[in-house]
Amino acid sequence: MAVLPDFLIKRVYKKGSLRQKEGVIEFDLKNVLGPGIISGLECIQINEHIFSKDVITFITGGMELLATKVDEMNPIHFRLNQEGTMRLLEDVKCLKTGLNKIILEIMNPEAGRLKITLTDNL
Amino acid sequence: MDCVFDKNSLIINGRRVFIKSGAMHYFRTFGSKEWKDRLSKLKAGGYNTVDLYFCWSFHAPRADGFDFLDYKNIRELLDIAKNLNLFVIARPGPYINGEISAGGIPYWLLKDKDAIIRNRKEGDYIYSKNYMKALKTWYGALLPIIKDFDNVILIQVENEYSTNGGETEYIEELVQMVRSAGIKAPIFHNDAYIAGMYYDVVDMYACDIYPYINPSKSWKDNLFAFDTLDNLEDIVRDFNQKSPVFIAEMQAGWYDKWLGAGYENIRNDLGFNHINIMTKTAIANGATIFNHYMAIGGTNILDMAADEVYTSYDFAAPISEFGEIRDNFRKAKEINYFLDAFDLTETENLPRELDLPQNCWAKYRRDNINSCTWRFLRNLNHCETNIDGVWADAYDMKILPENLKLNAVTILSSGLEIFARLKSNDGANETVFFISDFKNGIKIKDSDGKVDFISGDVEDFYEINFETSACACKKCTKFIFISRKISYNAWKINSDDKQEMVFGASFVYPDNRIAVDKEVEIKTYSIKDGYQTKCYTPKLTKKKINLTNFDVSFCAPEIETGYNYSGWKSVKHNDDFSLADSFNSDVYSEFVWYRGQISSKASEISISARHIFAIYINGRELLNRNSYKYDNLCQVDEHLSVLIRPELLSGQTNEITVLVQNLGFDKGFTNDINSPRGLIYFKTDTNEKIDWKIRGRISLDKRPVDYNQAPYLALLEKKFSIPDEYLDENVFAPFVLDMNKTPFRRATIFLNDVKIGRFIRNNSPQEKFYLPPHFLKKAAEGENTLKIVVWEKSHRIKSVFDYKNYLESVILKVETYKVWSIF
Repeated sequence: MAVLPDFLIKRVYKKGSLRQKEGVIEFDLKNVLGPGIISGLECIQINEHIFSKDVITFITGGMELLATKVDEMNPIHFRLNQEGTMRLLEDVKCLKTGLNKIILEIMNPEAGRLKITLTDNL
Repeated sequence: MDCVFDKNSLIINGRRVFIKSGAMHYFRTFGSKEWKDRLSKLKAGGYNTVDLYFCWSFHAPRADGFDFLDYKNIRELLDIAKNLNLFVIARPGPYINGEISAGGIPYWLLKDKDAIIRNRKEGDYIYSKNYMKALKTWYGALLPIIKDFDNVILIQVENEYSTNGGETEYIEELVQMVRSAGIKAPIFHNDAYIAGMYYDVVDMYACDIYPYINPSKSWKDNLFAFDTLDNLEDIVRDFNQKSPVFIAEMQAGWYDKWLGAGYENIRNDLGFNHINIMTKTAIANGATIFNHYMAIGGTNILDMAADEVYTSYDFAAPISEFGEIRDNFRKAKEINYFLDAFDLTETENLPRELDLPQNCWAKYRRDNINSCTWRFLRNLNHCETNIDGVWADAYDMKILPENLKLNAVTILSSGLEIFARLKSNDGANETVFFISDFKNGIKIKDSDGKVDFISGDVEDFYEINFETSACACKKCTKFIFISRKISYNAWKINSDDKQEMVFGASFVYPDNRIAVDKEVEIKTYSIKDGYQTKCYTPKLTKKKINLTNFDVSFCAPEIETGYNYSGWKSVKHNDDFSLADSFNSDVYSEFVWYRGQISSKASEISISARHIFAIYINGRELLNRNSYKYDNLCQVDEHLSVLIRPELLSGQTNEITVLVQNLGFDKGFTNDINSPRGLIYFKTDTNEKIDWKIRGRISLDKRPVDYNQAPYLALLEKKFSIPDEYLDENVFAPFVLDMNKTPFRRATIFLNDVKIGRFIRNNSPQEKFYLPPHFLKKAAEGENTLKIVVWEKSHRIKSVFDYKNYLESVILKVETYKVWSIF
């Protein structure tokens, strides 16, 4: 598992954006680090529940991208200062009041598989 | 040398200096002759600085001392740089990445379980006394050498370092170690994330920028590739107000990987546009220190390469692996000469509202030294585009002057770029060279105040002269126009008494020597002497040496039944192997042997190994497999099951041998350096516990040719001589070994017993292998010996008899890549 400094990656997550509405869970990202390429959205874990890639979408630039369609040949270009919303299309009650733990596993062409651990309060 | 800085630039001995640096890996270019050649070319291309990583593992193959001799003699290297008047950026690691195996950390240190490499484990900071103790011996050996060279103007600690918590103690300790060694040069660290990491711990903040990391996609299809660079000044100034915008590694090429696109594809994609845009965008953002990484390509010899890269480390760099000047060098030369012509060390962003065409970018900078404005215009369209009244070709970028006052004329605005400027010793006369451009022109005002427009649609060497009207201190400015094609082979030479331009040479050396590869008329120009021409005819032509009638022997007796391996070390395992298995046996080499016994009841083997392996049972091959795989740009292990052919088994117990070729350690950029090597997993269907024995290195021991035995590893040996005139000082003639016509699938190449190449046909397009001149013998030193260990033959060759016959009839070529005569 590749290592990018946690304290930097956490800047990409918009604190307080975790929410559940109408059967989906969402949270927001903003790229404050630099142009990034996501060549795979592998899975997302919130607390104990794992969301597989077939229920993950990423909304950015007015488009909703299915995680299953993101790969090396069709990567997401996540520009500097670009914002996006991660949407999880599964109606599960995994959010809890207080601290929630979010783990993203994404692919980057250079760094390989990245595991990003975040927290947010509800 | 007194080296200080402010927010604009470095100030060396009281003078602002724009640092134009290029990176060279001395551990991939070999010996003083090659170092001198490459650094001379760097200097001739207008660079004033060389960036040098110092590679710990290269000098410390064992824990008991350091090797700074022969082609590892860094004092000699630093002397060459100093004699060429090149500044040095010293980067002693300890970790250097550079696609070097284990990132330059010595293998023997990886063995120490208490030495936590880089004080980091899975991203978390863990201070390790054992690691620091070993590191202090490296700094202790290296820093006193660096201290002796006052042309070292900057020194870096660690390399692209980070931890999850961003702890600073380790970097602080390294800074202290450098200062304690008496080195006064400013200290920096290169931040790969451009996030201000350690900016307050070191003297100067620096960052790395690589917009192109995936050669399977052209940068021209990614309009956002330069996002960070476009905003660099704003990003950096957020946390750094005290030091100049400093790009410690600015992409000038990219490395190719096993199973990669190939260097010619990378070169074709990057072209000269990429380095042009990178460098000019950096300058547009106020950068006054840049380092083209790499400026000079190299070769991975021995076991130096990390697991992802093959023998050539050409990097599509401006100066190729073979020492050839390439198109991106010519473009870098053009920019460097411009920066020599006008001092851009004190500029500031000049906001200006513009209605830009789509995919175009522009920036303006006020120049406080030259009292003018510079326009930076970039076109990322695939067709020519008009930006702010200037036509720019597809993927081009220009730096153009506004209100630039010269000796006898003012450039009000220009659509033509300045290539170079020569000045007379008293400064009264100057010649400015422009790149002609039929679509654009120059608007000028002469000393009488008359405004005129000069078309850029002119012939080569077209001249316009301007003079001031005042007689007492008459000053002159001459414009000379040259096409871009002429500029490619135009060189600026600064000697003690004058500046001179040389046109038509393949390259020049800073001591005025001229290199040509064909009969050519060389034109020179100086303000004092005007034009002079002279014809040069190369003395030598290309040389080709056919190697035939190889001595063929079969080697690797380790495979045979009855081979005595009692001296090998034991490995305790439980199906899964670990990195400690090889470390505990002091096995770090590319080839690793495993030997054991299995029963006749076994009918199937499950195996995983890195990266290429073969299984032999009772001296006969069961499987020979290239397991090197990439998926989604990540290396993945292959897990195989193979049925044991019954005819291979005999008696109660059977001898099993596994030979694994490992292509290097992980470089450890973002991961811990813990990738397994050799056997990773081995299990029989009978679940047998095998008492494995292990030994490193491939053996070149011969075994007799027995037509009942399979010749799985064959050794081809041939002696050859290179005529002395091709190794002469006045000739530049890189020699290569061409493996193109061979039906080998895999081979390891040794030149005079130095491993100089790994040929793996399915994994890389490399067929030409550089024969570094440092390892070639002159005639007086005897013949050269080429040894090639062939591990896998073509499947078309079935019998031992055919194989030996075939090997004896192999024809290989040792030939000059190109030949330049030097005058």
